[in-house]
Amino acid sequence: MYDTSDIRKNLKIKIDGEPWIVVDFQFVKPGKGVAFTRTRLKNMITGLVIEKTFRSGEKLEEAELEEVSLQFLYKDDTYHFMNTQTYEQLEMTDAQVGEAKNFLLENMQVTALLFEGKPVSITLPTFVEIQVIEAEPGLKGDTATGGSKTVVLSTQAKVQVPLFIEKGEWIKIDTRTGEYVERVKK
Amino acid sequence: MINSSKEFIETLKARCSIIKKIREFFDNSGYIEVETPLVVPFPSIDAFIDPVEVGNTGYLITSPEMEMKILMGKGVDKIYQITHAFRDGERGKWHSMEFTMLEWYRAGADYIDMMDETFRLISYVSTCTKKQVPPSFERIRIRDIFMNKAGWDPILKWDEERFFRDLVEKIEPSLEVAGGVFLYDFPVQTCPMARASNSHPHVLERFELYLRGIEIANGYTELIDPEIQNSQMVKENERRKKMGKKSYPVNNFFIEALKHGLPQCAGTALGIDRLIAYLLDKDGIRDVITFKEYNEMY
Repeated sequence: MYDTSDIRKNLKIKIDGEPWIVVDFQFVKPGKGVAFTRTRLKNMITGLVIEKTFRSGEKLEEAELEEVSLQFLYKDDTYHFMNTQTYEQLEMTDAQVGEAKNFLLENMQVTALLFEGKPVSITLPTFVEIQVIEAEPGLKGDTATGGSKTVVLSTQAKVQVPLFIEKGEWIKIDTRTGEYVERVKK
Repeated sequence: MINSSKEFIETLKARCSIIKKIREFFDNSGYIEVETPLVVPFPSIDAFIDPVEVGNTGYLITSPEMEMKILMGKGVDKIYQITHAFRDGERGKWHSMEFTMLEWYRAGADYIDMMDETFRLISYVSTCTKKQVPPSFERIRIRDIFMNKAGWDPILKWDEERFFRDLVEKIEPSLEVAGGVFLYDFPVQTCPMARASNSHPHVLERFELYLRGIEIANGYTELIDPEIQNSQMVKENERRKKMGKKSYPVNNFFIEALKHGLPQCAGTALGIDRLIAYLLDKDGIRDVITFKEYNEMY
């Protein structure tokens, strides 16, 4: 259990069964009155940001969160991962994987946040290499004009790439922005 | 060198000028500057203010209020003091365990006179800075601002938790855009040493000055009845015990002074660090405290 005096930036607390992280806080106290800590909290699952004021001395539940390394195994109705330390298998829903599914490849090592032992979100490596499975034919010699086209990746995600990229080629993606970085020779 | 930036030196100089100007204001108005002990055997007893203990029997003052009123009882009629005061557990953008306080008392005055004088003081002091202080400060009754911003009347029906929560969540933020605002006529439950109004016994003759939404000064017509004062202190101790906090001995010297007879008077306490931050347009007192490095350690 935490106390309001433990409130610091990045403190992780549990409210109504969900994990929240303290983004900002301020001690407020009328000269002759009750002290409060005004906080700005971010929900670690949904990303929702709220403001909440705690009365001094109020107890706060600690959110037990742990960062682990997982390997992506396969997808059926859900996504299946293996904890590379304990070999334990874990499942995540489509919604929990979220945007990460666009660039998630089998056997990829990802970082996952576990809340009470269950994964709530994953972070992909910053750069990943993925094969293009569908692309309009490239235009010969047109490498410098800066035009772009949409291609389909092996994960079914669509990205914008330069015109010279062809079907079957491998490209590097920045997973933070979802943008094409460069062509990769395989 | 810690904090050797040009801005730091500028702030240090401005702080010095502001404090000189405060002294000038009171010296020109016929006040005597006094000193009272920082370590006292009897702390002020307030449900929500915790003193720092010194050794086994002493406390650092949370304000010099009782000692200054004892002086008033000895026959002086206008006194002021600039002192450090200490409040355990208070730390934040606008709080520090140790802070600089201005406190003054005037015989024959009431809280309305104190509002006038507080405004005159701040206008006068601001002339040594670039700050443009508004030509007057608004005055709003607590009842009116609560009805307006929170939809209920804390004078009619007291609810402590709700009062302070609404004060910090609804009232204070609404004052951030205002120039200067005196909130006045507080519920009788909010201060054990202020006098209740004769015509409205549920209201204290007390005000708080807010500048830019930050509480700067607190003043009131003083409670000089020894019996009521004593029972208020006993009551505050009871409230402290209920919250699992320590209770403190009642200051008999103070009660004796009231029995001996205190002139009807009024007093005001003003946070100098906060006033300086306001006058210099700083966002928080840490930018104007000389040793903020220490401040961050507890």
